[in-house]
Parts: sequence; C-alpha cells; structure tokens
Amino acid sequence: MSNSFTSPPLLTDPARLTAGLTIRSTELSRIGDAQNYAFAHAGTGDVINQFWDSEVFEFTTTSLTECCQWYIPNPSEEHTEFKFRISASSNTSGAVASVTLTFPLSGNSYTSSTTITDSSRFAGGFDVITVNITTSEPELYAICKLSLKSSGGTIEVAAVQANWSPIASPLPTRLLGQYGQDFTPMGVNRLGDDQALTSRFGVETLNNISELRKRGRVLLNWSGVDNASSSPARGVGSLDAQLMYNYVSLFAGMNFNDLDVDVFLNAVNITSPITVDVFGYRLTVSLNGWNSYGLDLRTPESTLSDDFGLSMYRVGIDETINNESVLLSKTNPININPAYIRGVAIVGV
Amino acid sequence: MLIPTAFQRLPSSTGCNNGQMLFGGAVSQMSSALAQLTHCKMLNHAHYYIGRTVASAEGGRRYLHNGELKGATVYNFLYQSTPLSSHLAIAMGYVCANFDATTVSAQVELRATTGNSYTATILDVGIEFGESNLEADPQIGFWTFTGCARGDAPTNVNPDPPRPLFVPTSSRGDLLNIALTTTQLIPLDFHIYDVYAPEVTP
Repeated sequence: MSNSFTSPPLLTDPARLTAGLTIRSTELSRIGDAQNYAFAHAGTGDVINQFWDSEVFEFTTTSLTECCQWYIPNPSEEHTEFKFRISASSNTSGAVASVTLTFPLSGNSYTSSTTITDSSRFAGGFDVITVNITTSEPELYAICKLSLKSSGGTIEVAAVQANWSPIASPLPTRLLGQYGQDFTPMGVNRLGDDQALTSRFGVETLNNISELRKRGRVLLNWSGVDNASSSPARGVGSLDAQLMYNYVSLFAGMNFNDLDVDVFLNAVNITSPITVDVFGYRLTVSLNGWNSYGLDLRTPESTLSDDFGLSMYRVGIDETINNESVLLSKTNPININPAYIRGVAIVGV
Repeated sequence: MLIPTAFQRLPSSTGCNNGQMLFGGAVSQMSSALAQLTHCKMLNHAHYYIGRTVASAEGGRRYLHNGELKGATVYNFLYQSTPLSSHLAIAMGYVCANFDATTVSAQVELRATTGNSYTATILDVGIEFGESNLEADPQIGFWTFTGCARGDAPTNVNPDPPRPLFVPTSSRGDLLNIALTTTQLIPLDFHIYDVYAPEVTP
C-alpha cells in the first residue's frame, strides 16, 4: 500500500459525488491522493523574503555574529529540510553565512553554514544553506537566525529567501505528526476498485482536512539588521508605517475553524510597555524578544479583491499617529536607547 | 469546477461512522474542502521589502529614498513556485520622477535558477512598466500591478505591456528568479503572487 500522490494534484469534481450518481473509485482515490499532496506541500512556500539595495547591508566583523532574526511557521514534524538562499558577495574569499533554526518550546537548535561565493553583487549565483531537522519538532513556529563572518573584507548582502522543502511522494507508511496531532496518509490502492469504502476513510479525511487548514502562510516577515558595518534599518522606522505592509488573501470561515492570524513582534529595550498598531489592532509590547498575539480578522477588505478573485487585505504596520511617535525616528532615535521593534512576522492560515 | 476560496464548514465525522448512511453531500464537501486547500490556500506569494540606508543615529527608516534615482539597475528576487504556479502576478511599490528629461521604466523577466545562477534560462521574456503605467513624484511612493489575467504561453521577444508572468509547465515547483531591471526608478517593495484560477477542469 503506497501513500503516493500526484503533482500537481488531481481535483475531484464535487458534482460527481451528489445523490443519484454512481459511487466510483475514481473520485475517492483522488480525494486520498489530494490529501497526501496537501500534507507534502502545504506550508512549503516562501517564509522569508527580504532585500537590501546596493551598499545598504555590509558586514566586516571577523567572528561569526548574528545579524537578522525571523519568526517562521513550521509545516509539520515530517518536514525536516529547510532551504535558506542568500544573495551575498564578499570582496575577500572565505566569508561565511550561517543559519540557525531554534524551536522556542523545545529549545532545540539546528545550524548549517556556507561559504559566500560571489565577489560582487549579483555576479554569478546565490548560495544555499540547507538546515536539516534531526529531531521530531511538533511546534507551530521556529526562529531563524542569520549570522555572518567576514574573512577580512566586506560582505554585502543583497537578499535572502527561504522555504521548507516539500516531502517527496510517497509519504511514509505510518501516522504523520503535525503540531502534536496525527495526519493519516491515504493508501491509494485501498481506495481503488473492489475495495470496501470504510468508515475510517471518511472520519480520517475530515480530520486530515482540519489539520491541514492550520498550516501557516507568511503574510509579512521583516527583520532589522544588527552588527552591520553600514547603516541598514535596525528597527521599524516611522516611515515604515507607510511602507511596511502587504496585500494578501485571507479566507472566510477562519473563525468557524478556530483559526486566526498570528502576529509576532521582536522588541528591544523594553523597560515599560509600548503600544504598536499592527493589522488593525493596538498591541501592547511588554517583553524583550518575541511577543506573540493571536488576532481575528477585522480590517476592511481591499478593492484589489476584484483583481485577484480572492478576499485581499492590507496586512502590516498601520499608518497611525501612535506608530509615528513610537517607532524609530528623528525624535525617537536609536542612539538614546529607546524601546523599538527589531522584527515583525505576521502569519495567517 | 469552481474552486472555493473559503474554509467551509465540514460535515460531522459521525456521519461517516459505521451504520450511518453516507450521503453524497458529505463526500462532496470533502472534495470541495480539498480543492480549496490545494488550489487556493496553498498558492504561494512572496513579499520583498527593499531596505535602504537610514541615518545610523536613528536606526529606522524616515526617508522614502536618499535622492539616488539611478540608471539601469538589476534586482534579482527568488521565488519558490508550486506545482500549480502557472501565472505570477507582480506588484511593485516605487518612486520615480523626471519623465520629461529621461526615460523611466521597469522591466521584469522570469528566469530559471539552474546552478544557483542569476542568469539561467529565460522562461518568460516578460513585461515592462513604462511611463504610461507609472506615476511621477519624487516625494510619493506609488504602486503598480500587472493584474491577474491568465493568458496563454507568451511568444514575445521584447517585453510586453504589464501582464502576469507565465511559468512553463516544466518549471512549476522550481525555485525561480524574477529579475527586475529599473531605469531611473527606485523600487520600494516587490510582490509576487501565484494567480488564483476560479474555475478548473478536473
């Protein structure tokens, strides 16, 4: 019995399953196939994307030093390969980029590194850092940290991109873990002709769909840069209230499924709580490090929905007077050690 | 068949227990819910915020740009496509000016990433946002967008007017490079979306 799947996935016409029509194995087999595909691929899109223009993010420190930090969703316990691509160059050979994934609850960390190969910006190719997760991690999120080490020259980072690798077909023949719950892969041969249509198939399919709906989609992810030798943004600035947002799709019915949007803010120098307006909410930030919030959708739908054919929303830092005053600016500069936001992650479903 | 966009309510699992009559509607709802997952929720999108130099004493961004409207500049944006990524809509925040004295444009092409190269095979010659698609004011950030029309595989040898990029079947699911070449234009952010197909033949 193989838990194989077809890629791209096969659709099952709902109209073929209504009353009065013959129950065919074709439809049920496709339902099983699509579940296996969805488990393998859901949540394996881009989780980190960030870009710096020419000469913005330069680094000269000759010891391995952390620069950036992002909060990312973890698709499942079975997705064990994380690909981090860095478009960077170094004017001396031997410079190193290193990525560490840390799971906040277990405290487990996994690190991998690469040598930066380009000698000038976009000269030849990007470098790939593959982080392998060797222990079962049933957590919803992980923290991704980028560290750099110069070889005596200057490293310039142009861009980063990262995603989890999809699982190849067939899925393992056992219960698969996701956030401490079970996903039951479907044996496609069991759904073929002359096989019994079991109660188990229906119950487990409904459970599988509910589990897969929880997979996170990154709506916005941004990190400030620490320890650079140039002057990239270290925290969210006052102008970012006008710039740091994305138009993304969010799906109706989240509230019927106990699903929400998670916002994470990485704060520095918090001595007394500050408030930041994000995703239509005024959030109180009271901890140094990552603060998390589970929020329901309450922002108005964008007119872009007509173009995309999906319900689109503006998701990000809100343009408010409160944000103008609390974010880094000329009147609230970093050199007087104010509380500031070093990173933002917004993850929907 | 229509691809639903919402997380619809699922039938009760007890309706699938032994001894229950299994209605077609219950199985039909399973099929719709899976179509929503695979063809809607799992469509990918990527959002690049383009960082610029800030005042080191301030640490955060206060200026739209530093006055450096540039000649031809290339930006490479990596994108992890899915097996269903057939068309990629592009949106971009930008600043530009001076239409009278110079030519302002932003060209976007789609490339493979074989060998981790920025200059691997061109998959779609792509599009150009020209002055008729852009607005000029050095103090204001604007936004431009290709729309989401799902066209046939393009055959153009020069950039088309804005339309979604087309991903050939053999490259769907691969890591892709969307190369942006700007002339006298500063991009502020760059967004890539898999285009949703509301109706698909099973």
